[in-house]
Amino acid sequence: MRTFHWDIFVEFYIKILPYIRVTVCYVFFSVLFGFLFGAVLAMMRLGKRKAFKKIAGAYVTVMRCVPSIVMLFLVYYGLPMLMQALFGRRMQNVTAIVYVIITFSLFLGASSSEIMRSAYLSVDKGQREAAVMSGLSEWDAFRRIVFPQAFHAAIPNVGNIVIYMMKEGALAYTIGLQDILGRGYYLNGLKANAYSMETYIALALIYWPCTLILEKIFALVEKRTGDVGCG
Amino acid sequence: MVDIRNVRKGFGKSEVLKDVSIQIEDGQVVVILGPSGSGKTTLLRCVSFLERADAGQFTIGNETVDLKKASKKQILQMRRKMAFVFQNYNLFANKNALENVMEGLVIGKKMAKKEACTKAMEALEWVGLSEKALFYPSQLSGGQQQRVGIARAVALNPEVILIDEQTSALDPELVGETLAVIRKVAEKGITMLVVTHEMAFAQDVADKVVFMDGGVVVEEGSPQQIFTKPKQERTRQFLSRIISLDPMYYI
Amino acid sequence: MRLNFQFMLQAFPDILSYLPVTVQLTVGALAIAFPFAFIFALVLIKKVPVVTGIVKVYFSIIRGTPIILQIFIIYNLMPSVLNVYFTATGADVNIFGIDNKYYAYLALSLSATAFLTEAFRAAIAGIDKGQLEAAYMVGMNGVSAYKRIVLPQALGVALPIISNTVADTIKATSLAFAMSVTEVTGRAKILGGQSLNYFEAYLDIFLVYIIFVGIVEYLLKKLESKVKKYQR
Repeated sequence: MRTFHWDIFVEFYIKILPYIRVTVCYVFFSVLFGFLFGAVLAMMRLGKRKAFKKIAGAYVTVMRCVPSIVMLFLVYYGLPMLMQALFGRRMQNVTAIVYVIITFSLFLGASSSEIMRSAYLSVDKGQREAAVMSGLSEWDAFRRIVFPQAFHAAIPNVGNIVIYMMKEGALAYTIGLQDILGRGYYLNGLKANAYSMETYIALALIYWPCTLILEKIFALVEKRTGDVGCG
Repeated sequence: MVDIRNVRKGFGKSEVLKDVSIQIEDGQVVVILGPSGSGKTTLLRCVSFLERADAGQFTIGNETVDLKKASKKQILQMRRKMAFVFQNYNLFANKNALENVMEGLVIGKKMAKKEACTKAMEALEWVGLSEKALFYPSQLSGGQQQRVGIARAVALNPEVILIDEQTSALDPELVGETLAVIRKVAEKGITMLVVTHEMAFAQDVADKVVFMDGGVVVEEGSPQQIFTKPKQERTRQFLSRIISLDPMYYI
Repeated sequence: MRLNFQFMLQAFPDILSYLPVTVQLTVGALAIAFPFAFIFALVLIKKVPVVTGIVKVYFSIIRGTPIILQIFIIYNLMPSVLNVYFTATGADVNIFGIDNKYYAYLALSLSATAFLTEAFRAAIAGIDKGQLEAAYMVGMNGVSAYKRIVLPQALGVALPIISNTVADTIKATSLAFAMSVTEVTGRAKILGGQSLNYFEAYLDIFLVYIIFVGIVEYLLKKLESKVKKYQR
């Protein structure tokens, strides 16, 4: 087995680290837009209109069946075509990260709607009833009583979504984005792919701690908001 | 005066309430008795708009609303005149006992926090739970939760309190605990409409007993009259069954 | 927006002819994952010293890294590892002759194993101890108690996660192109590149995946309700 080049490993590790900011950027915006979209889908699914229910349900099912890379390519190749058809001009200078954020907002919309729906349903109906009977408006009952409890129930799943996003976003290298993985891929390429093992180990040793940190953060958040029954 | 008039409610094909009317004078305690499935709870839920009735009017004081057509604003207005004590307590799980009582005062009535806090502490003390003010519902026993629920209702200073009190019959210890507090509410002169299985309670504090069965009011009258010489056969049957089942209820 | 429908129609059967590869990769990966997951689950439940620690670290790494990175690593590492192994044992195997699919099975099984282990562990641990005790008391031995009482119940609990893992594994096979294995996605990539009809090609496989994964999920749901019928 060939020797492991520690110097290259360290060099790459240090050179890749700053690109965490790119990963953080698309994770943040995908999660943000994904949850906004997911909230709309969850409302459609919890609402009374049958047609909305069906549409949102079908969307979630479809998104569960499609690999992210397929969706990423569809958005990457399809969006410019769509834009041209709508506005008659080709999209230019759109950085890859935009496609990544759009793709994963579509995915996270579906998965976060599931989370929100089940979190909402996990809160006992009596909580809302007690709130409105204490003279709260429906909105106040949701804002002050139902939502905090649903939110707390959802935190572990939200954590999973953020971690999923960070890892799955690595596929962005296929459309040329230089995030953590993309940068490693690029650096290795510059050296004629001679240091693959060093690159990949370095990448693993960046992703792994990031996941551990995220897990810790969400465990803490869960504990901090966890005054349900342990004040 | 609280006036429930001509309430109808069906779920699918089954008619749960068939034209029910009940009047309560100010300061009166009216107890609704009846077998399960008689529509007692549904009646409470209809007048509090937790269920939409198919027809009926509801009056508290000088305000009357249509139970079917009431607007959101009217519903909120009516709800702020009443309070509800749930059979499974429904304390806010994310708030401690004190916050449970304060919530309606601060958010519903827009009371200043400090004032609400004082009021809430008074209410908790009144039900004998001032030491548990900072405890969360999950840290309280069933009886204590029930009392917080009552404190939450009383603190709102409503014109009428609706009490759904059925499951407590399962646990004799809990029964004594809550009955004592409800009795106290009655002594305060607050108008109450109580759904219960507790004959003892009905005899003790009720100014009027309403016997419901099959979605209609079968008979109403003073506790004395209902318990000792009921006019209707159905009432007699119900009473004899309950009394023979468990003599304790008669104490 | 003008779509090249003719291309889509022509490419569809071509792409579909690679579905068996996708199935093969999925089955291969799961065939590795299931027995290992079961062993790991028992290790975790019995709290075997040292091994438990190793299994936990393994999970942490698998959960902490992207699948594509795991694929890169296996694909790069395995040939050298095998080379060392074969040289040491003196076996005469040409490692460059090994089909890439085998690397793909292994790479794709890594995260499947992690998720299945957790599913099995939770399911077995979740079965009421009284069930086992009752089985013993009606005269069953350990093996038949597990086989007839514990495992069937555990399966009901684990099936939703198993279904998820199966679906996730199918989706992960779409990354096999990174190991030069051509399955559905890889074929679409090639066809799209040849004709520059990328979007149409991916639209084709979009449909393929929806139908295929949809059917698999539906069948697993059916199985689930069958296994769980005692709960009603």
